[in-house]
Amino acid sequence: MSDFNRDKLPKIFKRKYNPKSLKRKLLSRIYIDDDREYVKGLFEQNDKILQISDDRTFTKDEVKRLKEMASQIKSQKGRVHIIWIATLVILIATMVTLVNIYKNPLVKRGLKYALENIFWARADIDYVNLKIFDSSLVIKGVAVANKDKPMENLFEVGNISVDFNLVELLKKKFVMDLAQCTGITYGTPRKTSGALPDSVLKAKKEKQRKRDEAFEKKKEELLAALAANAKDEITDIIGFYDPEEFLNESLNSLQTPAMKDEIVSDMTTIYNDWQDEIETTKDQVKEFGKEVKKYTKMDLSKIDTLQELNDLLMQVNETKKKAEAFEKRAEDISDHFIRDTRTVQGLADKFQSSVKHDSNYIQNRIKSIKVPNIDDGKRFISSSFDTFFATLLGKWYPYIKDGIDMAKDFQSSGKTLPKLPEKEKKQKKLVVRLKGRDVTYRKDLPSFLMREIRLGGNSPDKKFSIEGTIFNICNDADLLDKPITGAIDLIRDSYTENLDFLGDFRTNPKGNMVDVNFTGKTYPIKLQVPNTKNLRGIPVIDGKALVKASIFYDKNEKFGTSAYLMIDPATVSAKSFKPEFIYDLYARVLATIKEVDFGIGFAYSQQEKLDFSLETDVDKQIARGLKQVMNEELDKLKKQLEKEVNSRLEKISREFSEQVEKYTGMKTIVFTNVSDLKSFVADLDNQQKKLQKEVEKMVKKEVDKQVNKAKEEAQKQVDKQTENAKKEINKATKDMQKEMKKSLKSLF
Amino acid sequence: MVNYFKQLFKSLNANRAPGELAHAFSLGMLLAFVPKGNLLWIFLFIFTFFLRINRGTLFLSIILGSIFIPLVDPLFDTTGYAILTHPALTPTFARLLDTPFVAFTRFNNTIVMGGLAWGIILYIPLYILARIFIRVWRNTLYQYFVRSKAYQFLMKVPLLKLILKIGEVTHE
Repeated sequence: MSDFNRDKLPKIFKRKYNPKSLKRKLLSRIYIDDDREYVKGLFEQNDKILQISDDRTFTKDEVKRLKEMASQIKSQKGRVHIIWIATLVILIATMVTLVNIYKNPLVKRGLKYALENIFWARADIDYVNLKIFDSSLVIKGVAVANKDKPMENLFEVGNISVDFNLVELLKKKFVMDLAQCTGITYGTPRKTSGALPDSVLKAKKEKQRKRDEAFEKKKEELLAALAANAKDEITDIIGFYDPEEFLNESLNSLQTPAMKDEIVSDMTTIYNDWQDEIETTKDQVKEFGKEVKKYTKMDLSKIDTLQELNDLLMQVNETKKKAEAFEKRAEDISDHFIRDTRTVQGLADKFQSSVKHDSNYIQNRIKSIKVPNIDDGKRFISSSFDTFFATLLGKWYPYIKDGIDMAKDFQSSGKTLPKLPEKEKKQKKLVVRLKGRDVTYRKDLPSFLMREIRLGGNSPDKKFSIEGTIFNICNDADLLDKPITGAIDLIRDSYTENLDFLGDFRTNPKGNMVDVNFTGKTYPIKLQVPNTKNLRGIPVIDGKALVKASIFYDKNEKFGTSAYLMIDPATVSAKSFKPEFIYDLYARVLATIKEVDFGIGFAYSQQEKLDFSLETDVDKQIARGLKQVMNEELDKLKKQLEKEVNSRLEKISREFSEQVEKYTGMKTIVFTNVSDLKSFVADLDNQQKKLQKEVEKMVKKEVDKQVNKAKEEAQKQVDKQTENAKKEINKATKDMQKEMKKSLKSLF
Repeated sequence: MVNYFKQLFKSLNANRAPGELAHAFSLGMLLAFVPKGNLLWIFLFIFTFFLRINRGTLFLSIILGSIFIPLVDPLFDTTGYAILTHPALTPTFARLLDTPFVAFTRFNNTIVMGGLAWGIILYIPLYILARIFIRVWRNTLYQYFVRSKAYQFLMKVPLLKLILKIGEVTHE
């Protein structure tokens, strides 16, 4: 065994110690008594210095033992690892730095993704600052593009400030006591397009298409049924009325024009039959009159001889006889003419009765013109709106259903699911400790809770302001035991909107699961029904509306909405169609409508068919308008018909009167002839008397009393005959005059 | 486990500070008392890394303690509940629970609180006991142990022989 000197020993054994330092630095650190005694024995004291002698030799085992002891002594450096603590501090500092660097970009990216997913358009966020230990999140300059107008923002939020509960967040719960959104505006222009790439949109659309196919099917069924019911009601109602046709039909039904032609033809025949004879007789009477005048105008005083007188008297007598014969012929003609006059009178009576008949017919027809019985309950145009509103609701239902489904999914995500039995794990564990009990000092909260959200925005230049508060948005309403409630007031341009809502997603909600009440005032609206069947008269309602809508969704998954829409003032119009007069009437009817009310009901559940109802006063207003306009129109038609018929009858009567006048003229000639002839007879008779007087004067001078007697007798005889003749003539004249008057009367 | 035993025997029979072993034992028992899977246990465990203590003793204490501690869990539960619901302490605990990250310690669990309480209460007694045992072992028991027939028998088992050999005092 080789020996080793002191140089081979560890440093701590080669050093010099005083007794105190030897004990403190070396001996007190050796805890095994044998070792301590062994080391103590190695050191030799020289004065006050203790040191292992240079002469001392050691075996290999001793060197090994001392090296091991030295190593064990060296390792006794105190209880704390400073370097490890420093390392941990550096590690924590690095982590904090990394979190500080990346937290805001990560939050920004997550928010951006969420917004783009919801609104299908690009979202921009200017600034995000998440302060973990201050439990606050500040977001500035949020702008979400409008997917339909990529160069315009759907909305902007100037500042979002969220105070969340870090303690709950560390328990994997997002509990936010207050969130404030200020500086909300909408419709601001963008510098870059806000459209998402086509590939992203395509995927979203495909997802949307697959959503609730059952509802889509039922919606199509309803729309098809509603479309089938849509009729051309207005033109059906007004279509009966065609004033031109009615007028033509009425005028064509008159008998008088035809009757006039027939009568005039008959009268013309009679006239033509008499015309020549009467005219000839007239000429003959005229010529005869000249002959009579030759005798009647003769100055008898110039006749000196009895012979001349007798001759003249004989000529007068002869002429008188001719006159009487002529008169008789004239009277015969007159008698025959009067007989034909009766025929003419019959025709005139026939004409008069025809005129009377036509007058009565037209009066009856006018009376028969009445406004049709317009049923107030009839759906003139509201059926057209069925499709419109059903389509509208059908369009919005999937979004509402999506929202409710999302809320329900959100609720179920917050609920703690029962853990699966862990039999196998338990069997593997050798030692199982009790779980113990968690003592809590405050009520447990859902893993996602937003206690209060305040919205605010005011943009005077855009006439926009929003104010709203939403309470208790959470993902476990059972745990929170409160429903989501909220109210939002919005003023945009010239209208205001108020939204109150309640979402009770507890397992046993106290009422409906969802109740939403919406009121919108002076809301510019234009109801334009898509005219798929090319129906005439589909109206367009333009105006400012008051909208009140209630939406509910109950725990049996029945969705329903009832809405009241009052458009006041309303302008109702329709695209022009033919016939134009019907369109004009219809337009006048529509113009009478100044206010329109709609009541809409819509209900849907998986088990039941899609139920839709629409009530509106527009049909009643149209019925009223129709009655009013039709009354006006029919009054106009009556007057026009009366005027037209009177005009036509007057014209016909005038033509007939002309014909009658011609006949009357002929009658006058006949009567004049008779009258003239009677006059001639009278004149001749007078002249005859004068002649006889003259003869008598002459005979007086020459004949005696017998002659005078004879003369007296003759005179008496003459007087008597004259008297008789006069009486007869007078009587005949009177009769004729009566007849004439009667005929004339009947004619006119 | 074998390494822990090796470390324990090595330290037990070497000139290691008895405090290293005693603290390791007490801390090991404390860690055994407190259920795992919470920030408190992790903090305590990490804390042990900053201390110069015997790892073998620590881990063996944790392992051996964990085997038997469940037997006293009802006691921990009762104790923990009593502490957590003590009216004088309730406001403090409520505030603590509302302090960020503190809830991760699950101190509001009765077993955790009971284990922690008992661990703290027993820390000093266990430390003292451990030191006494080390002293007695090093100066007396070890000699008896080495000379015993049991030791002779154990030395015939290869694995135990390795453990015990390492822990042997290098000189006679």
